[in-house]
Order: sequence, then structure tokens, then C-alpha cells
Amino acid sequence: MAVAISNRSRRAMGAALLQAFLVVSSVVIIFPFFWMISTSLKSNLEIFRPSPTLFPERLFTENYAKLLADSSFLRFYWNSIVVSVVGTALSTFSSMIAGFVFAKFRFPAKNFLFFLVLATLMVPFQCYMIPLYSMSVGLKLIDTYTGLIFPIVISSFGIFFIRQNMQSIPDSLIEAAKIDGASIWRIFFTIMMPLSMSSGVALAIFQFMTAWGDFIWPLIVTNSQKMFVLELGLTRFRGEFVDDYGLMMTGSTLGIVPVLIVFLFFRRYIIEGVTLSGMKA
Amino acid sequence: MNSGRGKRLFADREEASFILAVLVPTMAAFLVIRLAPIAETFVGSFFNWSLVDGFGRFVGVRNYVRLFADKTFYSSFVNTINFTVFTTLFSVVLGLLFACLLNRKPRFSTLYETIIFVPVVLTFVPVCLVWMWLLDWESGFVNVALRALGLPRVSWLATPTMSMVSVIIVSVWKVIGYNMIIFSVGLKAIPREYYEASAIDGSSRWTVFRRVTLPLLKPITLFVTVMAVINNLKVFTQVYVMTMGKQGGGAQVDVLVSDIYTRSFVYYRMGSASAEAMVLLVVVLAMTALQFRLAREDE
Repeated sequence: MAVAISNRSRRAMGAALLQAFLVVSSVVIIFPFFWMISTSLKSNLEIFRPSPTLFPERLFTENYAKLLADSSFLRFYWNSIVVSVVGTALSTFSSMIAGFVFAKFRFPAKNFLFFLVLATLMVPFQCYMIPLYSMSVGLKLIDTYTGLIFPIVISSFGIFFIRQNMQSIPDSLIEAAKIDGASIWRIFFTIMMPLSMSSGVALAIFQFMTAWGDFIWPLIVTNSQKMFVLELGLTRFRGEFVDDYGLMMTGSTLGIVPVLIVFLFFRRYIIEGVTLSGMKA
Repeated sequence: MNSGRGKRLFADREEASFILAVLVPTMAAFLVIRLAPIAETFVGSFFNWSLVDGFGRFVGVRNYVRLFADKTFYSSFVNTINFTVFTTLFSVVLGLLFACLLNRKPRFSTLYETIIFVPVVLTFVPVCLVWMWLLDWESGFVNVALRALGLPRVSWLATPTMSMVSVIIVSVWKVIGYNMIIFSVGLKAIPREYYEASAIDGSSRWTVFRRVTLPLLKPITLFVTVMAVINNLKVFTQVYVMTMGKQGGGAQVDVLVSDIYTRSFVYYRMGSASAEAMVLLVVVLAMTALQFRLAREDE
């Protein structure tokens, strides 16, 4: 009897220890995120106090008002939205339709073409950005939306991912629609797209988050502040207002709002997407 | 499932025109913005390529010879390896730790999982800015806390070594959740019976972990590790934001990609930068090949 009790209490203590460890780790891990938001809502006076406050004593929203009225900040934001949304739409659509072709058709050189698509999967962007840059200079794409977007309109990973998913859609569905006289385009839009909606959404989320956080290409292909995306604009902020941490944290908080919204709404999708794709971080 | 290899679904002209309408633009795009630029980087690495006069003179392997004798390249390479080793090690171990702990299904495990995953979805520039603020010498939270505990302050970004340490901390913090999720999939795939058998043996948790969990997780651990290595070899944004240029508060750290960036877009020495890009490519492809080999051995 005594043994059973001590076993049980040992287990209870183990569970308590585990909870304690997880609480402490979670607090440490979430702290920078919390600190970003907290700092963004403090006045500079409060920020630089020798013994800092965890929560703002008085909500200071002036930095938000300042940034949301700042035309260059809004311009960065708009540029990021344009690039991420258009880039995501184009790469998701091109992946879906090319994935469909590679999943459901037979044609000459199919394996070779698919090999070409996959061959670039593991090549780091940094290994072909220099020619992309000289191409952009030659075609006068520096400081344009086209220049910012064109490298991301296709995705090897996307084609591969969609092809895998569309292969599991039974051919009989396509055959039936064919007999009913549907055109291939119609079959793509009314059967294949809806049936692979969940993988399409997962891919789009992934592409959007990648595009929103992309840094090195915007850094290279834009020179004028007017065309900076948000990530780039924020680093210039840091250059201009070295010590204005309140303003910097406000810009940072506003900058992660879109990815946070996507995360909150599609948490399951994203976590499952990570486990499915695994290939890209 | 039938992948369409067996029989033709659309044996007619409509099919041919559809395939052409899709593949001609797609493959043209692959050619123009992927394959050709990769080839051009390779070819350009043998030329005295600068932005102004195109490829310029053919110089054979001179770009490579000079690169390997170059001090900046050498330190960039060493820094990249250091960064990769430490970031991979800590992020994989911590990812595995949290996956194992949460796999015991403690209360609130979904909440913990979500919190640990948050840094993964944030983008790097805001993340670096807040960390630079946390690590600020004078008023940063970390140093204030250290002082409150009676400990000496740390000058987190003042020397190249400390800059590197700070960059590693940020990078590990950002990716633990990602590794954790992949590990937790592997853990869920381990059949209950293995654990039940060792529970009957009366083995301790640590023994079970070493004898059962770890060996069964070997393939997934290899996968996570190699993927992390490949991603870490490409490190740039953190290093750029935290240590380079006028926005960088810290002592500059050179890594391969930042060196490629500086050579090509600050000095416009595209040939030399291309040679360095090829070095990066060889290292990344070697890691990929290693992964394929290890995966095959496991089968």
C-alpha cells in the first residue's frame, strides 16, 4: 500500500515538474514577442527607465498613430501586400495547373521535364540571384513590382507538392466529366481545383509567409525607398532612429500582423503543412 | 493510385493543346528564371565578370584560386560552419526535448505547442529588431535582468564572437518549434507496444528514451538535422540585420551568403561572387546527397 501511494505521489510530482518546466520555457520563448508589443505601447520615457515595467503603465498609442499616418511606412506595407499577394496567387495557380498536368497526363519527355522542375528544388536562391539581378538591370526591372515578383511566380516545391496530391484523385472522376462533355479547362477548374483545395490552401499559406518574410531579393532589386517592402523598410528605420525603440517595435508589431493573422486562422493547416512538406522551412 | 501513366485519359487534340498551353509558359519560366541563371552563375565563375562590361575575360579557375586564398572568404566559411554546427545542434536537441515532453500529453499541451511554434511564423527582420532591443547594452531587458540578479552585464553585440553568439541564439529560438513539430510526428508513429514492453521491464524513463525512442527516431532525426544544416548554411537575414550596415548594431560577422552579397552587390565583382556561390552550391548538394544516401540505407 505504501509503495502504491509513493508511486502515485511520485507521478504527481513528475507531472508538476513537467508543467513547471513547460511554463517557464513557454514564458521564455514567448517573451521577445510579448516585449515587442509591450514596448510598442510605451512612451520613450517609460522605455528607458532604469527599472523597466513589464506592462505599459499607461497605454501609449502615439507611435501607432505616427506610423499609420506616415506615408513611407504605409507605402512599405502596401508594397509588401502587393508583392506577397500577387506572388502567392501566381505561384499557387501555376503550381496547381502544372501539378495537374504532371499528375494526370502522358506526353513525350514528361519525366525529363519533371526532372528539370525537381532539379532546381535544392539549389539555394543565392546560387542564381546574381544573373537574376543582371537580367533585372538589363530589362529595367530595378525598383518595379515586376522585378520584385518575377522570381517567385513558379515553384518547384509547389508543382511537386500539388502533383503528389492530385495523383490521389481517381481518374474515374475525370473520365466521367469527360464523357459528359466537359472541356479539360472546365475539369481543372470545377473538379481538380476544388478537390485539391486543402493542399492548394496549404501551399498558398506557405508561399505567402515566405514572400512576406523574403529579404535578400528585395534588398537587391530595389534602391529607392518608394519600392521597399516592409522587411526592408524596417531595417532602414533602425538606421534612421537608432534609439527610438518604441517606434521600431511599433513598426515590427505592425509588420508581423499579417503573418500572425494567417497563423491564428490556419494554425492547423500550417502545423500540418510543416509536417507534410518538411522540405522547406 | 493510377497516376495517368497506365492509360491515356485524353487522347486527342484538346489534350495536346491543353498540355502545351500549360507547359510552354511554365517550362519557359523555369528555363529563364531558374535553369539559365544557375548555368550562368557556373559559367560566370570562370570569367572576370563585372556588372559594367558583361562576362568580360575568361580567367579559368583564377576566381576560385583567389577565393581560396582570400581572408574574408576563409573567415566567412569558418563562421558559416560554426553557425551551422551550433544552431543545428541546439535547435535539434531542444526541438526533440519539447517534442518528447509534449508527447507525454501533459495538460495544456496544445497551448504549449502553439507558443513554442510562434517564433517560426514571425519574419526575421522584426525578430532581429526585438532581439537587438532585448540585448541592448544599456537598457536591454537581458542586461537589466542580469544586473538585477547581481551579475555582470554582457556586451552581446560588441565583438564578432558575441555577435555570432547572439545571432545563434536568435536563430535557435526561431526554429525550435519547427523541429519540434517534425519530431512529434515521428514520435506519434512509434507503436505503443514498444513502450509497454519496456514499462513491464521496469526500465527508467531515460533508459526507455535511449533504448527505444532514440533508435526509432533515427531516420527522422537525420532528416531534421540535414534539413537544418542546409537551411543554416544559407544564413543571411539575421546576420545582415544584426551585424551589417548602418542598421546593424553589432560587430560585423561575415558568412558565405553575406560575402557573396558584398562581392556582387557592393563591389560588383560578379565572377568572384559566382565562384563563392558555386562553393555554397557544392556544400548544399553534398548535404542533399548525404541525406539521400542515409535515407536509402535506412530502407
